[in-house]
Amino acid sequence: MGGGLVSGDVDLSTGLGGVALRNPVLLASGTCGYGTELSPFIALEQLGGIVAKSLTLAPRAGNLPPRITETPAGMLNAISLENVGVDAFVREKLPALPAAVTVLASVFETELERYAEVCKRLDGVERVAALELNASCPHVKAGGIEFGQDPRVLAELVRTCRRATTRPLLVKLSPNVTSIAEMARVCEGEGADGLSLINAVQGLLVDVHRRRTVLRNGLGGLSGPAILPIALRMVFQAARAVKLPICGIGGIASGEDAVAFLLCGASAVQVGTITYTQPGAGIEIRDGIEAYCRQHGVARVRDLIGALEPWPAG
Amino acid sequence: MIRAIATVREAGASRLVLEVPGWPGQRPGQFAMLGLEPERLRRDPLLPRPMAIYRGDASALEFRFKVVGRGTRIMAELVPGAKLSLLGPLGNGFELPSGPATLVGGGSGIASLYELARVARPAPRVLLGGRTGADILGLADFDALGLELSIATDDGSLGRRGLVTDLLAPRAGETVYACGPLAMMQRAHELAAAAGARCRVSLENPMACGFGACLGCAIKTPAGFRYVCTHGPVFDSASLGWEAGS
Ligand SMILES: Cc1cc2nc3c(=O)[nH]c(=O)nc-3n(C[C@H](O)[C@H](O)[C@H](O)COP(=O)(O)OP(=O)(O)OC[C@H]3O[C@@H](n4cnc5c(N)ncnc54)[C@H](O)[C@@H]3O)c2cc1C
Ligand SMILES: Cc1cc2nc3c(=O)[nH]c(=O)nc-3n(C[C@H](O)[C@H](O)[C@H](O)COP(=O)(O)O)c2cc1C
Ligand code: FES
Repeated sequence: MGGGLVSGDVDLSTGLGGVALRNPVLLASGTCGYGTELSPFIALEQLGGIVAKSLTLAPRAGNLPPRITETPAGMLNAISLENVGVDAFVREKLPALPAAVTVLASVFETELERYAEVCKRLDGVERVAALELNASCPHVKAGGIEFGQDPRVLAELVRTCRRATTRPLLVKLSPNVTSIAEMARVCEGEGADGLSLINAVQGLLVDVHRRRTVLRNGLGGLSGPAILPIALRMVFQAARAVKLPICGIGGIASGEDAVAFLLCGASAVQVGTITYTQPGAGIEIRDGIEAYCRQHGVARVRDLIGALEPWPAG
Repeated sequence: MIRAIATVREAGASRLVLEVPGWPGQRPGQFAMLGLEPERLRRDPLLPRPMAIYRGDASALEFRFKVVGRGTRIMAELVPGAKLSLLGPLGNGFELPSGPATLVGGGSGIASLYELARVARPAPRVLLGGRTGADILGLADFDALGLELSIATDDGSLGRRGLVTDLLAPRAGETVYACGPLAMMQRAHELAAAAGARCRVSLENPMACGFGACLGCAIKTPAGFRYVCTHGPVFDSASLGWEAGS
């Protein structure tokens, strides 16, 4: 492919279900806190946006420790959606972020009506560009994944939340399902504006010397480079099943990883675990996408979306 | 606080000396996150490792560590010229004692105490413990400070045979600073409380980020969850719920 684009002339802008993004890189929910934790290291306003830690109606304490452990090229966590609650988020966390940062809020609850109530409370909040429905936490005892694993329950959840908000509504899907395409279609049918996938993959580690699970909770969510091929596969399949824009998530650690998601059909990506290794990873990945575009003569990053080349027949 | 690519100047089984451009200095008891794969070509191990800053200034930053798993094994095999990513200094660090103090270090926890031993006035008493004599990190450096130093080892190969807390007899009004295995810190806390002394412990929990984003380093206290990386690593031992097992 021909190179030759000069500095500054790559158009990185993209969009996600009605939200305009200055570039395709967002930080994934739960891995960037409420943004302020990262402000000392990274200019958040130079990212496409951030998805804040999932919010529940009331403040929520997480699981007992140990809640994290490392795995080959990844980590397993069972934080269990510890958060300050939706009202404290709106009152204290949002105003602490620079106005230029695009903020998406993630919504999580254990019951349908409570999901809807969190959506309602965020609906009028000007700073919140979109809602991401977390239907997929892999390790909470009630709610979360149950909402994302049964197509009928997922449909009811999206329908209920759709009615509760006028904001762009993305649904974050679980990888712990048999058919991601089916789940994607359910969301499209219920009026979601986009999809985010994937959340962490259910996993478990054992300390054989003590003969018990490493995490107090037993199950955890696997994230990091180890899950990248699973995530790519699911984005690929979902993108073929629906017309909704997709935000690709899972193991992204470089600009090239992000480009792979765009080629598989994602309109944007979220960067999670790698932020712990490298707090500035989001910016480096954005720069990496830009460098890729220049190297391959791609003028607009949007031209990469779904642009995977077919293998020749035979 | 800085993010930097550090260059290994000296390395050994349990010692790492780094050149860190722009190092701003540290308070005793602060730590850094050391990333083993700065180029991120290999992504395994993925997470950085928290390490106490043993001592450091603009010319060199030193860590002392115990090999317990893959990350620390890689650290032990680093050669001069190798690169690491570094984030630090992080955490609250120790408040300096205003009067007499006793420092109690066990195993890798000894590394957290050297800087405090060096700057605290009046000179503190120092008690160090390990499984064997070879586990006492930085012994020569502590020796060179010329303060009152006592050693205990499980096998009696150095100092007294037994637990380091066997050497601890806190006095009312003094401050005990402890870093090491949880059981050791709990014992220090109990002895201090019984004697009417203050006790500060520095916790060594596993971490993913080191700056408050992942919530992975939570500990349960009577007042709710606290995070070792941002509220600690140093805690007032009386604020921890030892019974609940933190
Ligand atoms: C603030 C702080 C300062 C520290 N300072 C020092 C220091 O100066 N010197 C030093 O030697 N160590 C220090 N540690 C501990 C050190 O971070 C761990 O030993 C190290 O991360 C282990 O990495 P690894 O890859 O070798 O082990 P892994 O392969 O990750 O684990 C190997 C085994 O060790 C256990 N383990 C891992 N981390 C810990 C831990 N933190 N505590 C108890 N068990 C653990 C695991 O459960 C596993 O069984 C500090 C920790 C903290 C939080
Ligand atoms: C410590 C931790 C906490 C997380 N918390 C949340 C959360 O609150 N809400 C959510 O939707 N996803 C959460 N996730 C999942 C991530 O947003 C992301 O979907 C997943 O980690 C995969 O991406 P990665 O491989 O880039 O990390 C969390 C992940 C981690 C590692
Ligand atoms: S290590 Fe991530 S919050 Fe403390």
